[in-house]
Amino acid sequence: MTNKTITVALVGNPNAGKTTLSNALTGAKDSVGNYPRVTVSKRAREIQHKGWTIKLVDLPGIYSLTSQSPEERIGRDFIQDERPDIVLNVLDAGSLDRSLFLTTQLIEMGRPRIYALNMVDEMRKKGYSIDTASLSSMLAGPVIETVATKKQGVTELLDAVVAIADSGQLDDKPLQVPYDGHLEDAIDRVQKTVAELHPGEFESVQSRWMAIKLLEGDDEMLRREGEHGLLIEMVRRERFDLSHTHSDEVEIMFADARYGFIHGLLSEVRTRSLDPERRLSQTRLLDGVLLHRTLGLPLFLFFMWLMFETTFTVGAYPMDWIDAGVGVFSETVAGILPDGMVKDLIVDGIIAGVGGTIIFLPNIVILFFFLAFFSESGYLARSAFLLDRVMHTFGLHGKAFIPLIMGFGCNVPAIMATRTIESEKARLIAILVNPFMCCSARLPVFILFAGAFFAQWAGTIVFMIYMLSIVIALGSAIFLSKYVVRGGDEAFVMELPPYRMPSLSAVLYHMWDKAKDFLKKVAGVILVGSTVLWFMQAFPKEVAWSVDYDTQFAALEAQAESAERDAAIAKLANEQGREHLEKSYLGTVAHTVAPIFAPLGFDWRDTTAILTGLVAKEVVVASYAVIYAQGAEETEESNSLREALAANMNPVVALAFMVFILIYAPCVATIAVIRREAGGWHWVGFSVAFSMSLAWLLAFGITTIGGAIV
Amino acid sequence: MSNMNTLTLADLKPGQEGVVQMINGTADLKRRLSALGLVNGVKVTLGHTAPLGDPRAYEVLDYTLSLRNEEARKIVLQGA
Repeated sequence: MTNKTITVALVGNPNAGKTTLSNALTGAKDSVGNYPRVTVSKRAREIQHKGWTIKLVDLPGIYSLTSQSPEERIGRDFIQDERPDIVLNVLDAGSLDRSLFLTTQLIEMGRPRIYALNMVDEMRKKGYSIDTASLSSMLAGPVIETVATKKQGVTELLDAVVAIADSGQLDDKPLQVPYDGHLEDAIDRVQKTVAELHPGEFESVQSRWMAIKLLEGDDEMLRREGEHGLLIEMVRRERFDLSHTHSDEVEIMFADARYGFIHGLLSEVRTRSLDPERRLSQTRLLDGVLLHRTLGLPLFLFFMWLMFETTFTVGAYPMDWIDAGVGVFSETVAGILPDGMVKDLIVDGIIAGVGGTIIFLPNIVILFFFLAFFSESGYLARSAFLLDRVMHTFGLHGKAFIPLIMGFGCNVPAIMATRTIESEKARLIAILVNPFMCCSARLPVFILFAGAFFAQWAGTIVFMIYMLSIVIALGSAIFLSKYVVRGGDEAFVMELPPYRMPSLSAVLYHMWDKAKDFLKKVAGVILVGSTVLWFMQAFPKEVAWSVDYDTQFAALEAQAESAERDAAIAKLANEQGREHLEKSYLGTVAHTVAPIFAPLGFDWRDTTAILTGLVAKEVVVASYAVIYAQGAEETEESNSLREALAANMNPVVALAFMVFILIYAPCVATIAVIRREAGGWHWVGFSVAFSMSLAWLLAFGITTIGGAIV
Repeated sequence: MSNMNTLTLADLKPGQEGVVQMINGTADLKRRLSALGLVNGVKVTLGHTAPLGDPRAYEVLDYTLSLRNEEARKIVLQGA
């Protein structure tokens, strides 16, 4: 109705209940939730309240406003450069000391503030009580007690926003965190120089903030002011003098002073009725079991087993329904459309491709139900804690374990799950090694080949392939962390949040978010990929046939009806299909690139299968079926396909081929998700080149060494 | 440089409490640790230890923080 708009930035520690509060405020109609870490687009949500449009900008969870992590930079740049009208600071009432450290810096950034004292219920359980009125006056902004999970205090928060907006007092109430005399003098001098260098540009609170950040040696601020050599030199000298007179580093002096301020403040507003029985909290009891030195790991492995077991057993039912649904849909469409290219494209290309992928949706939804539950309850952080020592040996982070295991199912959700890893470097490595984990789509290929070539040891061979996939993933992690992914090893400094019962809405929201991501991908990459693959297989329509199929068909048709005649017709049709594939664009491309694979012992048929596998690894078996003129309905269990394969390849080359399929380039869906999660095509390029080279080298090694032995 | 006589966070026994005296290491690490409340004069108690002895969980300022021993060794405690 009116165009009175006010921008509110939501800032707070991770695990302070920011997402839940934000959902409670907006009614979770258009949920955004966890910040996409790589694509740094800030999405704002709008709330209508008492004649105002409140634009709520969700900033990532941070502990401080330095410029160390991308999250901190996003938060800081937003407040610094876009100057939101109000900063809504979410405080974890249960650990106020730490929460207020961020607040001391928000105060210095000089925007009007409202404080949500969140999870006051947990705080009371710890035996604390807070004098909210005094805290409010000491922090120069309204303090509202909230319990976001129960939507308590939500209206009061919105009222507080509107009250400030209505009063028109969108200027900061002056409040300074006091520092030691020498620090204050230095701040004054630097602030004066900053003001002189930027005349009329900043309010005094802004120049003070800049002076503090400069003195703290903040890289980003030093870079911004880099052109002012005089200022940089002055800051360097002040830092040198301060650290010499105090025999401590300047950033530590600032941190000490901030905690001093917090300590003084809390000693006035917080009282504690120490109740020794209550101290033995729920979290401690649970940790006593879940983090137990001998029980901890077995319990974790049991939860993992439960997660996968449920994913595949429960997931099998909706998968059957989807499969049946796609089948019916495909037949219906085939019945409606007239024969021709459009029908072939839609039925054999699009419906087959999209249908074959969408079938994994139940798995993804169930897997993310567990993951959301682990993450929201606080157990995910514990699992990282339990496994960090092992993972660290391979240059990985403790939190990379779950995504790696998920890779056995499908690499796409697995790579999406790496978002829980904060450190940029550790996360990138976890993303890049994930495609080496043998996803379930590759399994049919191994079943087919192991059955065709190593019948007695088929199970062992498949198991060895899985072991190899783990070895390669971990080995690559070591290689990547040493030589490829830049940046120092980030310290494993992680909060273990109290256990909390996840709210159903939060879990559902995470599941929906992942399902949406997956469906978007299916609608995009898979759709395009399967269309292109179909096109390359189907065209050119007319090829130079080696035999006159039409005449032969006619001759067969003319014979008396018999089982032999029908079999002969089917055989001829398969034969024609094979020749068409060989002479299609796909076959032509395969013939062209086949020389690259010749040293490995692969011919044009294997090359075609490899190329089609780029769209989705499941397609490899289907391609062989067409190539060996078996008809596309053949599966990995099919005996005739096994015989045809065994007649055309020797076991050594077959082993090389299996290893090649295990390692070579990620499928298009995985490529799309790598691009998005790793943040750029260059990582996709690296991933493809790296896995291709590794696959080629290993397959070459097997062919050469194996060839010499056999 | 730490020697045998300095007591660090990594030397705490389960349930034992110490008071932070000084933090060694890079400026980055110091900033991260101080943002999480590990500053001079703060009390820290050792809680759980992961199955392979590393990392460990510490109770500090009413919450639980996990650190690898590598970092814990850089946090010097007030004299034993």
